[in-house]
Amino acid sequence: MTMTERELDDLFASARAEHVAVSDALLARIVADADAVVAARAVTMRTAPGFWATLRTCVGGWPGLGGMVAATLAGVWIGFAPPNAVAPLAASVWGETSTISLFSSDDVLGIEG
Amino acid sequence: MTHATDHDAASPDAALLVAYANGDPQAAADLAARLTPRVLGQAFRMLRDRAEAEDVTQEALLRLWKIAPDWRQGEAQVTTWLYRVTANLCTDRLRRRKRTTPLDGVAEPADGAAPVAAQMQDRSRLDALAAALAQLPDRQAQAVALRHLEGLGNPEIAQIMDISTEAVESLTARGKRALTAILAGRKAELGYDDD
Repeated sequence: MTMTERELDDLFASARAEHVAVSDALLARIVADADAVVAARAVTMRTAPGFWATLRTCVGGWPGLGGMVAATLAGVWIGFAPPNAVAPLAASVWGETSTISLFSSDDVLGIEG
Repeated sequence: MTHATDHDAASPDAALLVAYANGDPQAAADLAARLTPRVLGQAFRMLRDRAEAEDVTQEALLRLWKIAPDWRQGEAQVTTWLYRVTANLCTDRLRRRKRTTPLDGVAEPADGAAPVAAQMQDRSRLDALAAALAQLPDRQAQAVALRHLEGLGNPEIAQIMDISTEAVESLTARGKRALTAILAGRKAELGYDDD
């Protein structure tokens, strides 16, 4: 005894004809899910750190960032206006500096040969 | 509905999905109202279990909400995507059911007054069909369900399953043969001898 294709097709047709009603409770759960996903996304976007926040964290927060800024400013200041003690120290570390001119100071364009 | 921000019933699902992703609160309600009946119907016809079908529907739509910000209009239809997700979720459950529920565990027709008995018999036959569907390999079950339970055409099924139409034809043909063989052993029990 085998099931005929016709009987199987009739079975499929019965299944297709069945109406499945959507309950209000299911719709409410689905819409609540949609709202929850939006809310979670908003929280994620609010709490996601930006570039400067990430940098600040990397260098140890505000104290670390303040220290970096102070050190940078001090370096620039010392570069422009070195204190008296720095010049001899630099000379002892790097040696004497001398200037060599390739041209006579009177003949900057090298016209006189 | 006459809500001021209601979307036109003809709005494509993708446009509503993008509106939802952009923060339109009414878009989710409109989209849920449009899509839920189809998803629930597909899930119920495959699973024949109301609670499971509702769980699948909620899960499928949750996945839709989550991918909404990345949805690119014109690349795929929302319904095609949902058919695929729902079919996959259902076959996951059918696979679990196959491991735990023997085919003989499906309820048999109950005795009773004629109309009630006929209804019960119809229900038993459909339950038996779902149980037989669970015995098929996943892809066969999906192709048969989309073709014969959802009434979709082969090209659309091919798109949903991401295979060729020839492969769809082959899967549905083999699936139907397998279903016929599985259900043959239950013909008398399902009342086909009386027809």
